[in-house]
Amino acid sequence: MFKKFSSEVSVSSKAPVKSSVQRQMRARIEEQMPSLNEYMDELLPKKEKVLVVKCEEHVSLLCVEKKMEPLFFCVRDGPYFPTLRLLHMFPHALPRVQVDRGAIKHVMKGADIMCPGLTSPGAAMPVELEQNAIVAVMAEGKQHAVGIGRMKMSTAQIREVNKGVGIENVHHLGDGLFKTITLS
Amino acid sequence: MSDLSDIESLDGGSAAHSDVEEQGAVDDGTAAVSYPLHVVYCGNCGLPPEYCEFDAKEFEARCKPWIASNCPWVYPDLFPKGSGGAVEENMKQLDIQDADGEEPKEKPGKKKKGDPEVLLALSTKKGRKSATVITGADLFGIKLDEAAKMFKKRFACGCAVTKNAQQQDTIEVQGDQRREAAELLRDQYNVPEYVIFIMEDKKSKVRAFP
Repeated sequence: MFKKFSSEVSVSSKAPVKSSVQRQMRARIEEQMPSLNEYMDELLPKKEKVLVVKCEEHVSLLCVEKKMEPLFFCVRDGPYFPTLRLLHMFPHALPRVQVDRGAIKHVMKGADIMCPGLTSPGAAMPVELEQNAIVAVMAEGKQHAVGIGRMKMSTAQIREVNKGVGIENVHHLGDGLFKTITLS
Repeated sequence: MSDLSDIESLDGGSAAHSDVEEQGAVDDGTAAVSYPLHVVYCGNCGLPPEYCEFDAKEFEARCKPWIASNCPWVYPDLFPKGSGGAVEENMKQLDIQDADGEEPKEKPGKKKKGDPEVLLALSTKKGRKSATVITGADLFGIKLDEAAKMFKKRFACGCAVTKNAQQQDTIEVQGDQRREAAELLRDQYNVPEYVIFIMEDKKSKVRAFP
């Protein structure tokens, strides 16, 4: 999704949001990622202005006006995803799956994650997840996440079918959004 | 199926690093560890250093030296632990390789892409009207909006700073002023003659002062 993203070209508008909207967004994020609750005051302080940066393809990014680092993004009114840099800082924000080593280079080029890459010996799916769940894609032998994805099937289905796309690659290491450190 | 703590234990990390991670795995980040974690990104490619190896070319040439001096523990195979001397030697070797290998590579690349030049092109507007588009003047320390004002006075015509398709700032002067503007850039702003080019038509680029 963010393969060709760049802050100069892809951004169409930046606007501060009303504080009521800000509260709503914060509530939704807290609901989705309860493990971030205690850090929300640091991430989106109540008193700071929060900007919504609208981009191509109905993507909007959230960031705090002072720092201008993208923190979360969502598509249309969809669920909020943390950016990879944020996920690296708070690795427990999302449930994890692990892909085997052979899959890493393809994931880093933006490929969706295929089922065999999730069921082979090097891979792991420690938690049972439903379809459409948002996951952190970890990699065999690596400490940090390689991408963020959305489950195309449930984990049970992945084990059963073991073919085709298992997780949609939403945001990965080295893509345009990852390279966008600040939006100024 | 392996437990996720495997992920952390596989990293051969420094004391501080693995400490933080192990705790994180044990109690899943509810206490003890202070979040946000501080994550190191490679100074060359911007990825976490453990992922540098997946871009083979860049890794050998540039990431490796950076990793050697900043976080050799990520690749225990390449930079064996406890042999500080070896690491330094490695680095020296790498430096030498760099000096040998990089220079010839970089120079032609730079010439093709990065050599600054001022380009004056004609773009057609509505009907039979045209405008001169000056790209690259900002690379020679010219303030574009001030220059635009000056052009307005000098040529008694409209002139503005606009963005072109590549998102570069350009000066757009109404009418065909390519020659005059080139002379002005040379005389008033001391832009060297040999960097000023004129587009005669869509394809042929000619030096303004042959």
